[in-house]
Amino acid sequence: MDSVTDAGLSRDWMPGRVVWTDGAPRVEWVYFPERRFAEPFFEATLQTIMRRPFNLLFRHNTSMEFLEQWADTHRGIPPTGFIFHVSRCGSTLLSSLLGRLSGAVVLSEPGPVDAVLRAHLRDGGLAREIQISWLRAMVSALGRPIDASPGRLFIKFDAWNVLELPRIRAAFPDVPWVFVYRDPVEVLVSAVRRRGVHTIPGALEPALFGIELTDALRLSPEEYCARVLARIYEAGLRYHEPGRSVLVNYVDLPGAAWGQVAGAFDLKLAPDEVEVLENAAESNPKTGMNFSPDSLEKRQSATDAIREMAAKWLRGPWEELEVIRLCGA
Amino acid sequence: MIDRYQLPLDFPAAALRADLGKIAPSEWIPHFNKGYYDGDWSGIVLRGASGRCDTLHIGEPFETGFVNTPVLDRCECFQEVIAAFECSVKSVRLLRLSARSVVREHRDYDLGYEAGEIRLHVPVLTNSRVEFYLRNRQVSMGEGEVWYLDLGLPHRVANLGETPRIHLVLDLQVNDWLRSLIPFETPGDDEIPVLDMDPSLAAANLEKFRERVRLDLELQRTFSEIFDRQLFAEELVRVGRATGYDFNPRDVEEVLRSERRAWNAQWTV
Repeated sequence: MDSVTDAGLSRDWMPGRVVWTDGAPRVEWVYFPERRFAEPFFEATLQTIMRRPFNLLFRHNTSMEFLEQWADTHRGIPPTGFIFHVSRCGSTLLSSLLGRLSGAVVLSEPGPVDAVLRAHLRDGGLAREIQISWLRAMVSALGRPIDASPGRLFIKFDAWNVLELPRIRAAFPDVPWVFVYRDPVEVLVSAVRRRGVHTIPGALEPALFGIELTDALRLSPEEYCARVLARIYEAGLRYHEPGRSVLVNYVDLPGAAWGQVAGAFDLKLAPDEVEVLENAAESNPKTGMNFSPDSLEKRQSATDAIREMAAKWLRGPWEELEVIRLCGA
Repeated sequence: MIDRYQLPLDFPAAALRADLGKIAPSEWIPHFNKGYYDGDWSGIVLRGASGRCDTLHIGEPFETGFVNTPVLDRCECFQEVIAAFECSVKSVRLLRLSARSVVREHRDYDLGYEAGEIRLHVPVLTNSRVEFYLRNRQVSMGEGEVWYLDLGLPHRVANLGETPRIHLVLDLQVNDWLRSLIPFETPGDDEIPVLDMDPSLAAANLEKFRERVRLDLELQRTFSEIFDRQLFAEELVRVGRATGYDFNPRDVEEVLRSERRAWNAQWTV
């Protein structure tokens, strides 16, 4: 291919999702000149993008190799910091807050990045270096600057992506990250009450959590959710790298945004920027950032089964995380 | 029905601009339709229901009791513009679209010749890189000119220039004087004749035209900012036929439906 512009994909296009066709991943591109992710999740922004009839009729479908070429000529913002988390722990509040900073682009659980991170589970023969190259290209193509400023790119990954942290680290060796977690009983109450993609057996590849589908279906909801979450807590603990990653407990939010997280990401916030974050975090129904701590309610509604499974699967890694966080690391 | 028309009236651009200088920057208030625009879209109420200056909202349809606001008292030229209309003048606002700001396609409801109320635009400040589209066709309006626009139809505006675009926007009650100035009943060019053709041939032509558009950035820009599905289908048919690809609006509707199904069915990765 001569030049990517000849192929009709100008700078106003973006990968919308990855679909698998005949055993290979393909990129579906959507027209998105705004480049502004106004919604708290990538998927919600994608839905607004698809309200343009143009994207129904004219979206492009290309190979991953094309994506790599395109990313070479349309540079994205180098990532500023990554957010990993156990889900239901305040991570969306954190990513939305960072989105208030000027020039900030926040990719919140971007589906195309998750698809690349799980590509080796669909194609066992996929070379690790190729997957890492796709990951760099995908992040670059999604995280494009919205104005003339150099910009700041934050990615809040899907909760299970922390299991792929070694690949992410290999692709972005200099990018710091934070791992956000919360009291296991509170997370488990929320996970059982309203399942996420990762806590529905079979929605993701069973190999991801090392639980066979036939076993998963025999487990109680409390135990299945607890075992999946245990993998995520353990990965956050195992891959923690003092000096490069920071552990954030839900109880430290929202202040951690302009505290530990800003420090880990080396944001060098000006006083007025801190003020923007403080104001945004204040209870304000209009901004959708009405941060109301609900730990008490969640603990009171925990059943015996939830307490038992949280103790059996999650208390161990949780306590280790807390020791590291509180004793300094 | 005609959807745009330049009235045989005009006002001195320099005097209009002089009135702008009598308004303090802090007096502009942001437009209430926050979902529609990027950048700065704001305005000033010169005449409003109950004389309210603090909202650009016109109020309920067919609201009465419009009175001038204190800002208008300062602006002689704007007063002269209003006085030139020999009909009942309802709301009058200045609307400002700042440099590098965009108002996405939308319709203004509760408005229209048939409902007895129309909107006129008088550009006060504009630049060569302002692009206003009504039904996806550009309208170029110069300072001091007076334009009737049927804004119940899909329209959008982008100010790609470096200076603001400020229009005086007047809502008027239709009377015989306005009917004598504006040929409302003139047939428009929005009728698309349905071609009697084999549906599979039409579908194949549409498919070829889609491929052509995918590779042509100029054609992409012709369609990318349309949000109204019916207008999108009509424009595709119009430009497709002009480019040598014959198909009908219903062929476009059919593909839009099947592509929506395909998109929804593939949500998993």
